[in-house]
Parts: sequence; C-alpha cells; structure tokens
Amino acid sequence: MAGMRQKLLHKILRAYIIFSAAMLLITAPAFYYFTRKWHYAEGDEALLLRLHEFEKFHLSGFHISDIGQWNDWNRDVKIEPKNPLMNKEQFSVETYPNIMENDLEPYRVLRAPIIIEGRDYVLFARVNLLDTMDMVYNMMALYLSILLLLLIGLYGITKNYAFRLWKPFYEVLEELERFEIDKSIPVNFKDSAIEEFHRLKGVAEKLISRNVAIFESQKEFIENAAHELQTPLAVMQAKLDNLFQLQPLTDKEAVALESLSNALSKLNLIHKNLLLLSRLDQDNFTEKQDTSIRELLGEHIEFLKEQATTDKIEIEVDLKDAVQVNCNEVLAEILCSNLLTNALKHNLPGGKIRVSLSGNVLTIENTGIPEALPANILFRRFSKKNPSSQGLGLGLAIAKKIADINHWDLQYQFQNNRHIFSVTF
Amino acid sequence: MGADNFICFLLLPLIQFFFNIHPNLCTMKLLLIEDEPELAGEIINYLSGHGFRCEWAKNLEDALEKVAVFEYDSILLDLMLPDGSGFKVLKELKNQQKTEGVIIISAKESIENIVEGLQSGADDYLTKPFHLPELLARIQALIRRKNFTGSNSLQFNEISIDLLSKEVRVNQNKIELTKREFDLLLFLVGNKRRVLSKQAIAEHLSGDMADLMVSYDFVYAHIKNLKRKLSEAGGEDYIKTVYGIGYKWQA
Repeated sequence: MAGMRQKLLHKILRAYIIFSAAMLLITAPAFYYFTRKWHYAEGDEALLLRLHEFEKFHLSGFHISDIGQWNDWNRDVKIEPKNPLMNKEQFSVETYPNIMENDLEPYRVLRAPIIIEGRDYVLFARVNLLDTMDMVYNMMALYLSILLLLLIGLYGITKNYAFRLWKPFYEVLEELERFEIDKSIPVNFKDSAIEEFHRLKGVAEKLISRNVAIFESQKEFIENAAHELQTPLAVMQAKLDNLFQLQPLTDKEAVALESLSNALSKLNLIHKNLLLLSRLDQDNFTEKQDTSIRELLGEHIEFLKEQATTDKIEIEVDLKDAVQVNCNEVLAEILCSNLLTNALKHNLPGGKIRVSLSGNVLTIENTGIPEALPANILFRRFSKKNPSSQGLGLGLAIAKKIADINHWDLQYQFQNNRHIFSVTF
Repeated sequence: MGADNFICFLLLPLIQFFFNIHPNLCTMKLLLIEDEPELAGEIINYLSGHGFRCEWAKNLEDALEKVAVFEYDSILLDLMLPDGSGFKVLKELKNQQKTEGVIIISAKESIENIVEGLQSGADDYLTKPFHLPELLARIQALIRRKNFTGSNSLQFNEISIDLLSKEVRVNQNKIELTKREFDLLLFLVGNKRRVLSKQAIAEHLSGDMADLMVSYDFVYAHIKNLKRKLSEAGGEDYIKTVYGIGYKWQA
C-alpha cells in the first residue's frame, strides 16, 4: 500500500500527462488522416476540373492524329491508349521521377475514359502532391507544438499554482504530524482564505483541543486517584503491621493475615507503578546525565542473583562494553530492573538468564514457557496472559514507555525456546 | 516534697545527660505531624512500645506551635497538610536554628520533592505507604546519627553491635556477617519484641531494589544464616519464627 501512495499533486499531474499523451496518440493519426483526405479531395477536384475543361474546350475538335502532339506539349494531362478494364473515372496516388532533382515525387492521378472520334481512350491527369504534403507535415508539427505547449503550461500551473493553492492543506498536515498528545507542543494552524481549508483548520483545532482536554483529564484522574489511594494504603499497611503484634494468633488468623499482607504488597506495587506511569506521561524526568549502563546493571544483577538462588536459576552475565548513555539515570535504572525482574519472574525452576551488553545493545534472554509471547499486546498495560501469575502486567509497559521517551528501541523475540528482550540505546 | 525537689533539681539533669549519650535506652520525644488520624494512631501505637513518647500535630498551625515551644528528638513530617505545606515546618526549624532530626513521610514521591525536602533540612524521606518497622528503623538510625558520641554501639544481652565498623560480637567473639545479615540483625534488634512480616524484612533488605523483588523467599535464607552464625558463636536463639507471618526478635 505504502509504495502505491502518491502525493496529491503528483496524482493530478499524472492524470494530466496521461490524458495529454492519449489525446496526442489518438488525435495525431486522425489529424494526419483527415488532413490528407481533405487534401486529396482538393486534388481530385482540380483533376476533375481539368477533365471537364478538356471535355468542354478540346474534345469536340480533337482528332486521333492530335494525340502525339498533345502528349508532347502537356506533361500533366495526357491521352493514353484505352484500358479495357476501365469504364469510369479512377483516382490514385502514383510517384513519378523528378527530372530536375532526380528523385520520385508523389502525384494524385486521375484516369478517365474518353472517346475520340468514336474510339476509346483514357485521359490521364495528374497534380503534384509534394507542396501540399509539406503543408500537411507543417500543420502536424504546429499541432504537436501547440499540444506540447499546452502540456508544459498544465505542468507549470499544477506545479506552482496548485502547489500554492494546496499549501494551507500541507501546512495543516505538517502541524498534525508534529502534534503529540503527551507532549505539550502547541499546535499552530495558519488561517486560509479558501473556505475548505479554513474549515479543515477549524475542525482540526477542535479535534485536537478536545483530545488534549480528554487526555489531560485522564492524566489528572490517574494522578489524583494514585495520590488519593496512598493514604488508605498507608493506613492499611500500618494497621496490618500492628495486627501482627496481637500474639498469639491462631493458625487460621495468621494465614489470613499473611494473604492480606501479600495482597497489600501487590497493591502497593501496582499503585507505585501506576504513579510512575502517570508521571512518565507527564514527561517529568527532564534531568539527564551521562549514565553507564554497565555500572547500573552490575548492582541489579547482584540482587537478581540473590533472588535467583531459591529457584536455582542460572544467570550468565557478559557485559562487554560500558555503554555510556545520556539519559535520566532513574529511568534507565527502572528500565533495566524491570527487564531483569521480568526475566526472573517468568522463568522456570532451574532455568537460565543471560544478560549481555555490547555495542549499544542490551540483551536479556530467559527460559520460560515454550512459546512466543504475543508481541502486539506484550507491552500494553495489564496485558498479562495468566491473571494469577506473579507479574503485575505493568513492568513491560513501563519499560516500553521509558524506551519510547528516550527513543531507544525495545524489541522482543522468541528464539531457540528463549524469550529475548533487547534494548538498542 | 523534699524528694520531689531532689529529683527535679539534682537527678533530672543527670538523667538528661544520661539520656543524651544513651538515646536508645530511654524515652525519646517525638513529634508526629500527620493529618490522617487513623495513620497517626497506628504510628503512635507502634512507636510507643519502643521508648518513644509521641506528640501528635494534626495540622500545620498545630505543628508550628509545638515546634516553637518544645524540643523534640525527632519529627515525622507529612508534607501535605490541610492548612498548608509541611515545608513551612522545615523553614521554621531553620529559622529557629533547631537541629531536630526530621523524617518526611509523604505521599508525594517525586524526585524533585525528595530533593527539595532534603535540601530544606529534612534528614530522611519515607514514601507512603510504608511498614511501621521500617519507620522505626529509620528513626533509630536518625537518632544515632544525631547523637553521635564516638562509640556508636548497641548492646543486647551477650550481643554487641558496632554501628560504625559494622562488627558484631557475641560474648566478645567476633562473628563475620554479610552486609545483608548485618542489616537484618539491626532491623530485628531495633524492632525487638515485635513481629516483623516477611514483606517488611524483604523490603528493608532490598532497599532501593525492592521493586526487583520477585519473592520473599530470600529472607528465609538470610534468617537461617544469621541464626546459625549467632548460635555458633554461643549466642542465645532470639529469632523466633511466627507462623505464616514472619519473624520476631524474642527478648
């Protein structure tokens, strides 16, 4: 589809050119044919006139003995012996040598049966077509040049005038392309004197402002909701911490408190990640510094190894290059830690993790379920397949968001039964 | 009457002097500035068992008044108060040249807020929600920093913990602990007689890396190692497992 797509103006221009070429191809032979036909008709008229002149002024007193002399003195009207096949006037085009220039020239020829002193003869009359053919060619040339001029004119108009005419449209288009709902770049449409473009501008502005308003209110809602949640969560956590002190607890009570505590921890984490996502949307992390990804990974990998011992997961680390990146360190850290945690969370007991850093690419491979994850929803919020699994469904969404903010490329692949996430810084 | 006077004028300065060099052993005065009464109640409940006398200010006005009149060992400050920003308390403390240790307990956890808080004179920052044992550990650490007197050590029966050199001795026998085991020991002793959930311990041990935590199972491994090392050095087994919930330093 993309390959087929063309610019509006090119499309119009192409239509013009195709139409002109078709016109040229169809009309040029027709033009030639008709010009020639009319021209022959002219010649034929002249030849008939000569025939009638001969019949009127010469034939009555003409003798057979005069034929030789007549033919000697007349080059273009001659009397030929009779042709048994000929019983009416016949026109044709024949070529005769030009004695002066030593080549052949076209003639329009008329042969008509006549009777001289009771015997059948043929009157031969001819007119030179050379001059008139020149005229036909000249006219053709003139016609072609007019057509060509017309074409150039159309091209020029389309190129310049139409381009100027459509300029407001392209301006609106560019503004719309530049527009990003999560960035606060103001959209600036120029007004146009043309009514349709004026309307387009109005509609685009309305659409954008409505979307921005919805986006803002949604953002505000998430932020407020997250902050409003914080106090009740804090109260719950504190109450729970104090409840633990009510010893002795029965086994039943202890188990209930334990699951309550686990659920609350999960809730806290979801809440924290939602807050982070809402702050990522607001582009709050503007402070940047030179960050060594290797250094950043080192600390996290130590902690990861500690975590991995329970499930006997083997971690292979190959950090070839330091990879210096100018970015917000906190965000880079969250990205790395989310990917590392992901590799551990969705692993199998006795599985493997491989972390490598070389060039400007961080690759994290892990064993896990033996099938590729759905790449289209993998990085969406709360898109996990198994609702009871350990993940919250936010870690990868956050990682993706951070990668997008920094224009890094976060990719997922499934190869040799391994899930591979790679970040190109 | 005579006895009262004796205590007031002679013993009190002595007691206060004693308090200052051994802050962990005696009652500390703490101001809690927090507008949510439920949360304030729970904090006071937890801390009062550990030698703290807590006063509660539920808004900015109340807080500024208390700060101006009384002296505290430590202040817990919520930044979002109904009648203004908690930053005003920090400013007031600075104006009055008071050196109380301040821990911000806030719902706002943006980097800017933390940096601004610490630059305005706060000593630590804890984001809501938090575990009460974590809060206590932070307060204890802050008070230790503030009352630095050269020998910064903690004694619990036969176990002595040197907070500077991070050395632990059981009956004078030095034992080697990893950094996490040391942190764990300090956390348990600091929260003695309290049941600590696996979550609270795990989050305390992972610190900044709490988000990387996949399970709480690693707590068990550290507890096991710490218990073994303490008992090998001849220490009593103070660490008790509390079914379903976590662990407790039995005193």
